[in-house]
Amino acid sequence: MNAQFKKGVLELVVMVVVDEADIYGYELVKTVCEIIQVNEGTIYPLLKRMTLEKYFETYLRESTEGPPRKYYRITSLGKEEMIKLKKEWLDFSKSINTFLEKGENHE
Amino acid sequence: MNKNEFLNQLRKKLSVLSQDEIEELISEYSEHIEHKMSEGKSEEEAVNDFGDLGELSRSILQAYKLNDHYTNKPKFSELIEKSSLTGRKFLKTFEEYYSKISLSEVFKFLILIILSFGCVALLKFPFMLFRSISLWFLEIIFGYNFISYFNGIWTFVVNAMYYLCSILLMISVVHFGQQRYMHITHQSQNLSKKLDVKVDEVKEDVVSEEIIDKVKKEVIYKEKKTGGFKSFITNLVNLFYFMIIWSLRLLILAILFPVLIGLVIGLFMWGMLVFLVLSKVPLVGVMFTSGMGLVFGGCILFIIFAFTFGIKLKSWKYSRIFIILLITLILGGFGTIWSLHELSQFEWINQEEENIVQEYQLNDFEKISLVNTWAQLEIDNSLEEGVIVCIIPKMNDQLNISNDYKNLLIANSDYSEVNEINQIRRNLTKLFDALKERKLILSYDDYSNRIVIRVNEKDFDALQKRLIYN
Repeated sequence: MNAQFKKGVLELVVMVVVDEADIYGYELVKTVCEIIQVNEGTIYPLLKRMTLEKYFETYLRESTEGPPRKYYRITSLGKEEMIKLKKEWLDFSKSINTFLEKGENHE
Repeated sequence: MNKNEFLNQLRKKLSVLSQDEIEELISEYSEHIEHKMSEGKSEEEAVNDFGDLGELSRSILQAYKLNDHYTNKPKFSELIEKSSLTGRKFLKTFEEYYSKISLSEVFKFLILIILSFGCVALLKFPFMLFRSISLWFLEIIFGYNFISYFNGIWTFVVNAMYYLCSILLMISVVHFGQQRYMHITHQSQNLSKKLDVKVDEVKEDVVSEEIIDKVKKEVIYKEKKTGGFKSFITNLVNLFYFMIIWSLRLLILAILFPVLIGLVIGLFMWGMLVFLVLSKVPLVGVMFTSGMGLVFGGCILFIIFAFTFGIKLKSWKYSRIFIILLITLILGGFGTIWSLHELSQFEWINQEEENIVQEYQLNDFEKISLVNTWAQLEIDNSLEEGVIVCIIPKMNDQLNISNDYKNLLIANSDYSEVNEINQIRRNLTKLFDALKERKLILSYDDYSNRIVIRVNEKDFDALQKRLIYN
């Protein structure tokens, strides 16, 4: 898939995943990579940025195996942003789809 | 690369961050790799999944809104890369900057400068007038003695004022040109530069349209804000530009008006030429050349008009006009050669053939026998000294003698007889030259178109014999 497409929706996907349930880094990367094929390296910086922008907050939780894990939780600000992005994406994809279908009908 | 190497290198690259931050990030990445390894991937594979280390560290730092240039001391190779990049960037902006200034704008600017030189020259007159009038007044008030001292100083002051005004005018013209043609490009460039900087910060992630819009608005707002702080002086200077531009326009109009009339007259003449060509006078080359000249002049006039009043034309229109100008220039060059060839076929009536003329003396009347069909002799009894003879050309309206009797012009409406007329003209010229040589010509009577000569009886007999009885 086009790398530019991926970049555009990656933030939204990450937000939706975190919104579903609090999640720690590795699991989140795995989940996201199942949805969009992206380089794992790009997700951590994105998480970092969104945390710094106060869309996410982090907390540590003990795990049964190994050291405590860093969990990500969406903030109310992040939720707002997610809803906005979601709406934008839906509108955008809808209009693009309509346009493409129209093009197909013409052919 | 194994896990420890990877983490160490990452730590180095992130060294600009605080220790806590680094540790937090490193533990996260290390945890990730461990997870992967526990799922059965090799250490190498797990590390490689992160992709390029440089890119990773860069995007992490960008998340902190940091530029990765700060992170490491630049290595020599990086320095070269960076400097070449800067060079390229500079070249690119340079290119963009100049590609935005179109040919027409440069042309406009040049015309403006040339015109301002003209204005500077014209500006001299009011100053000269002012100087002399003021000196005159001062002389009336303070008397001549004072003026003789004051004259030099006053001239210097007025001249200084003139030069100051000229310099101001030139500066304002140049400034106006810059403002008008470069300000816009400059502004847009600034905008895009600022945008680039801001966008860079969020580029690696989702570049949402909204953010760009926001930044754009912000930048535009800032531009407006700085624009709003125009001082009183700037406004004054602007007013000055405005006045100068309008006076320039009026000046151009005043200059163009006679040119326009000339163009109309040219068109009329061209119509006459067409008529001549249609009535089988071979002047096709001349007609062609003059037609080209008219098109050329019209184009130039149009361009100057458009520039003067800032009529915005699309660039293709300009390019077309320039092509037309070029074509007319080339064709006009050919046409000129053609017309020269055509015109060389004609024998011009006022050509001088001094060498031949000098051979003739008054006694050689036998050689000018043709004259008798064109002129007659008349004795004027009103004058007493000697015998006064008048030579009267028979075809008054077709023979014209200039005041110094040197040139004879014979006009003839019938084109085909040019050669015959030339023969007569030559003969008459010889006769008059001979008369002049002997200082026999007294005067030329403009009204009745006759030449008054004084001859002795012997010469008169000879003249009469040749002119009348031959």
